[in-house]
Amino acid sequence: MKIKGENSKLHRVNPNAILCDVAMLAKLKDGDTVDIPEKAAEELLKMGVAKKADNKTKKKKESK
Amino acid sequence: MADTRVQPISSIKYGLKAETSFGVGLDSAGNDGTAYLTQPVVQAQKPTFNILRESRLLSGRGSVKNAADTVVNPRGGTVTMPFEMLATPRTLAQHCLLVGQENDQTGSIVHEMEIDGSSNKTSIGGTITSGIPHSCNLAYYPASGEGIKVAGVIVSDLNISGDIAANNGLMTISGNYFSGFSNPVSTSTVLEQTFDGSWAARESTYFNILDADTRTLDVDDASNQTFIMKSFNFNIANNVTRVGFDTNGNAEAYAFPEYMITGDITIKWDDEFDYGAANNVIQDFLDGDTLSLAIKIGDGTVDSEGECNIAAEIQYTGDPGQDISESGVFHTLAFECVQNSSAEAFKISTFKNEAVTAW
Repeated sequence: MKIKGENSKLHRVNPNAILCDVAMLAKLKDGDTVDIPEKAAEELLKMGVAKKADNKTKKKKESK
Repeated sequence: MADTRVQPISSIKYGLKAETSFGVGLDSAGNDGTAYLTQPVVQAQKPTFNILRESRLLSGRGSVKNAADTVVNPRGGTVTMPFEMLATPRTLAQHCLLVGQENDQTGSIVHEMEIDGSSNKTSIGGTITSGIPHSCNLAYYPASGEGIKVAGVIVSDLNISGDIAANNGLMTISGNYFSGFSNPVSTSTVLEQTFDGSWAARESTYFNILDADTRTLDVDDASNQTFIMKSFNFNIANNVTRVGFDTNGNAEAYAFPEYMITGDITIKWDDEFDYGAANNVIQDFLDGDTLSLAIKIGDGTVDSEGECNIAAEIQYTGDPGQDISESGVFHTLAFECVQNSSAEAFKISTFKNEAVTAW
């Protein structure tokens, strides 16, 4: 699931207690959008430290 | 041969779970499979049974007490237990509810507890609806078959404190649990209990007062002056007493005759809080002024874990003291909270995306 980090709030999250890896958490802390496992995403959403990002996948235009 | 068993203090845990019926065990059939909420304390203190025991030297016994003359009565007593922990979103909200017996939930989910002289319960003991009023089963668990379950547990006094020099600024809560169920019976407070449920894990998010974006206090002729804070304390007491007794001599209800909130805050002596005209903290004490105090940990929105807003209406209870250090002179302002027209004496808002029914 794609989520976008709330960079003013994520510093309170204990990195050892979250189900996503440190690199992803670092990106979230920068306010980036990352695609992480659903369970970890839902946990961060529940904590109010991330927001749902656009999860639509762009369709590639078919070449004629 | 003597037994070699050692009981490390860290192997003892305790948990809370909200009751659905006042003073009744949640699972009283054999082992207790309740999913207790593990509390993040460093050392779990043992519940203390405060019952009547009187050993008497009766007439005609000579010069030493006789074994047969001691009176013990577990009926009509109380059980108390101290606690101290770093505040986490759930523990802060639940302990505020346990001492204030008031909760308002909004959005997803802000828990607000206010003390205003009318919202808080003056007694509990009747029906519990959706976790309100709030009492818990407390499970103290050193080992299988040695657990103590205390029913009808609330918090009699709660201290909420923050100090930039202690715990790296993390807010702590401490206080005492109280129960009027001192007589062990199988369906309520019980000894020798095994707890074999899946206890909920502790949280790992805390409140750091170094995150407090908003720190304001009225002073003399000015409103909402921003202060530089060293520490704060709020002490909330509900003066709980047990009322009546059931067939086992346990409490029929609890009364909360008066909610009292006292505290202190240590803030820097500067141009916003000094002894001069308009910003005089001493004048506030001499005039008996009621002042609005606000501490907002986070950006004030209270929409994520670790954020919390505290608002209080305070009156200084003594002449402002001085806290002198290399950082300069700070004012130590002792206060009590009072209802001020429509402004609550004390209000705390915290975020935890769980309804109280989950506790």
